[in-house]
Amino acid sequence: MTTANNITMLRRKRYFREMSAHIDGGSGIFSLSINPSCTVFNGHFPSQAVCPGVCGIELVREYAGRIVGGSLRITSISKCRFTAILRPGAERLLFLNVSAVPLVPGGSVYAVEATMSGRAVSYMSLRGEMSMI
Amino acid sequence: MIPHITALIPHRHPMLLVDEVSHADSLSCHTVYTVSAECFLVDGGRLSEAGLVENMAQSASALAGWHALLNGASGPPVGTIGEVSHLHIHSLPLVGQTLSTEVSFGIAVGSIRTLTASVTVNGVLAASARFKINIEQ
Repeated sequence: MTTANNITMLRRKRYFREMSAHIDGGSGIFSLSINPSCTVFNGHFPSQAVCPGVCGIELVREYAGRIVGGSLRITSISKCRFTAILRPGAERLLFLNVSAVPLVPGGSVYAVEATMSGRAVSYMSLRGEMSMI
Repeated sequence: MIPHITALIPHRHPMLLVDEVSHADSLSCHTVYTVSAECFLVDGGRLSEAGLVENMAQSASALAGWHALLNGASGPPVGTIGEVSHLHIHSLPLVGQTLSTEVSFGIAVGSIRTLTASVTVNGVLAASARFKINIEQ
């Protein structure tokens, strides 16, 4: 069920729709559908729509928060690689794999790792730290 | 004179996160951006972490765009982020606050350019990172 507490920024701005979600402990696999009519594509870019890489980073933040049951803030990213350009509508589904593990048992700072891929293409990998707000 | 930002990068509202390039030379630039409530990457009255990263990346693209125009390009090149590393976020700027962003170019290999960037707000560091940006000519 969607409540006011889990309507995150990109969901509220209709960047994507969640098609499935499977969370097991500190990790989750989510399938998403990007909305080609989202207003972000008016500006990124007017002549050739491209999914902003930073929206991938934001998706990881939002879903890491979903896994740990709260809102997270990115404090650092040691490395985030974008390995292919994603255009809206190019993939029927995107698959986001996220793990969020507390650095210290019971702590509020999490080591987060994630990958985002389509049917046959890997788009992004990320490793960083996020803290509970 | 440095052209208007829309001549330097292809980004437009609601994904334009640089207002002006205030200084640029062969290897560095300084940009300013006042956080707009209508920005796509604003949430809860603050620029998100993704917004800070995008501001740094667009500042770098603006410098690449200025170089391209100086070299005779007819329009701004499209820059895409290849890699972000060593990112540290210290604070999320509020709507109405002005970001002051410094970019320093490193080496270029083909269309890939390495760079470092930092964002300050009222003189206080908000974020810093290293990037690899792919500039399509």
